Amino acid sequence: MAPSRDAPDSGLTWRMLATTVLVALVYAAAVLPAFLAGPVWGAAAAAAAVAVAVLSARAADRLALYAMDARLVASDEEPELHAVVDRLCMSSGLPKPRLAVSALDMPNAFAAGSGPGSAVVCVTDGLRARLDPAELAAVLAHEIAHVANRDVLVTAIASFPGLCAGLFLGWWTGLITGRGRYGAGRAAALLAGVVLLPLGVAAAVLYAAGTLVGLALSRHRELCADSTGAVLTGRPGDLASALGKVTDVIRDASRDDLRALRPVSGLCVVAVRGGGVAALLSSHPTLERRTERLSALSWRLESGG
Amino acid sequence: MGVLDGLLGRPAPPGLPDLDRLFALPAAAGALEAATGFAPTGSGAVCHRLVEGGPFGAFGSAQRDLTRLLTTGGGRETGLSAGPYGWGWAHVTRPPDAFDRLVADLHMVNSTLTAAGYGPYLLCSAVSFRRDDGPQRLFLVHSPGRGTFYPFAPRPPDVAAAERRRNNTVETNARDALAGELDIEPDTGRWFPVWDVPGLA
Repeated sequence: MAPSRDAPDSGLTWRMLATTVLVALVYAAAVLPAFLAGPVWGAAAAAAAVAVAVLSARAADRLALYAMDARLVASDEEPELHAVVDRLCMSSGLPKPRLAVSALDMPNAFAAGSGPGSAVVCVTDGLRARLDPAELAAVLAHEIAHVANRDVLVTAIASFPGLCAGLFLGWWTGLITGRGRYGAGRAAALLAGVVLLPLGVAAAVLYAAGTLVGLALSRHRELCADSTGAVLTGRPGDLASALGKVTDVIRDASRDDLRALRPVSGLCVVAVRGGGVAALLSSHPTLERRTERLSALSWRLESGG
Repeated sequence: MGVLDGLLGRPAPPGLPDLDRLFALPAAAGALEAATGFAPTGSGAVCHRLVEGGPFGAFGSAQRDLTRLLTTGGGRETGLSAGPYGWGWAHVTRPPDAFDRLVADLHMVNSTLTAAGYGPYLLCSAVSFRRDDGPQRLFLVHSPGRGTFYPFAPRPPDVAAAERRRNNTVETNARDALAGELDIEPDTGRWFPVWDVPGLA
């Protein structure tokens, strides 16, 4: 009669492995051209890719807190929040993450930091005002599950090649169109652009593939965090109702309010872009998909199976 | 949880708690009283998640079994309480001189919930101590996931204006007194306070 704590289906694990292979392919595609110029250049490119990926993951927490106008809170400032996080850490065995509160009125929460040792979990005032205590605990458990799964590091590493390819693509388009250049400089830029045409095409492919793979990975990690968090709390129903409330508010919110959350959208508990975005281009699964999985977990807990 | 499990998004495997460590408490209580003067008050409690499913769900029936077990026998007062964030306490009070039977009761609460499959949802067990009817309380908290004990000494609210302060001196003394008797949690960052423990007010 023991409720099993396994993942709801092993399909998640297989899809995770598949996306990992895809991410590795994207990295290889980004680094391999440098090997054409010689093994030293290739090794340097590989090292640079790894170094920048790690650096971007390390700095992400400070950037996210800054973008959200959030401040770290000590346990005497927010005893209730700290009590909830304490208990989630007792259950999960994780070291306690730092806790931050953002003054934004949009209900959302995010976790940042590269691993359990240096994580920070942030909730907005809007979230705390709109959710019941039990729902707030469920959202915090979802974020702590992200920390346990090292999701910030994983998504940062996965999205990095696509990001670099996008930057290169922008620069190369500038060369071809000759924007801001005149006379001989413009001709030289055009020539350089034509010479770099194969690289530009490669970057375009890499950008598209990297973005799609990164988003697929992100959606998948959200489902993982939903189930890990729900298993941690034993109350998937609370998370489902919290997701419903947050999604409702975000759907009705004005464009300006949403813009405040845009920089950290990928990290949030609910994506800030509303409907109208194709599922393939969304960083989060649809509410229906998540609720469906959570109610399957609820049913299993209720029946004891 | 291993790094690989984390990267693959697999939840932690069921860490089955080693509940027999609780039986080290009666001997440790003697050592604690000899060294610091803190004696058992006879009250103890077990904190667990209120797993969803409603009164007729699987967890509800496990809780009913628990209540039935606790109310048979006698010689103790028991109760269940629930907090707003989804955690609840099962508390037991016995006369202060029946400390080993109190520990057996707490063990029974833990093992009943574990046998029903809710071992991973057990948060902690706590037993309460006080010194000569003074206001200062000391709790020994057992975290089944880690298998360790730690002291928790909330300052009495009437002494200082600030609520929810801990008495670090009492906690450190308790740790030193118990060092040879119990597995004390080495990481003081994991001495998580349990402010809503029954018997604190």
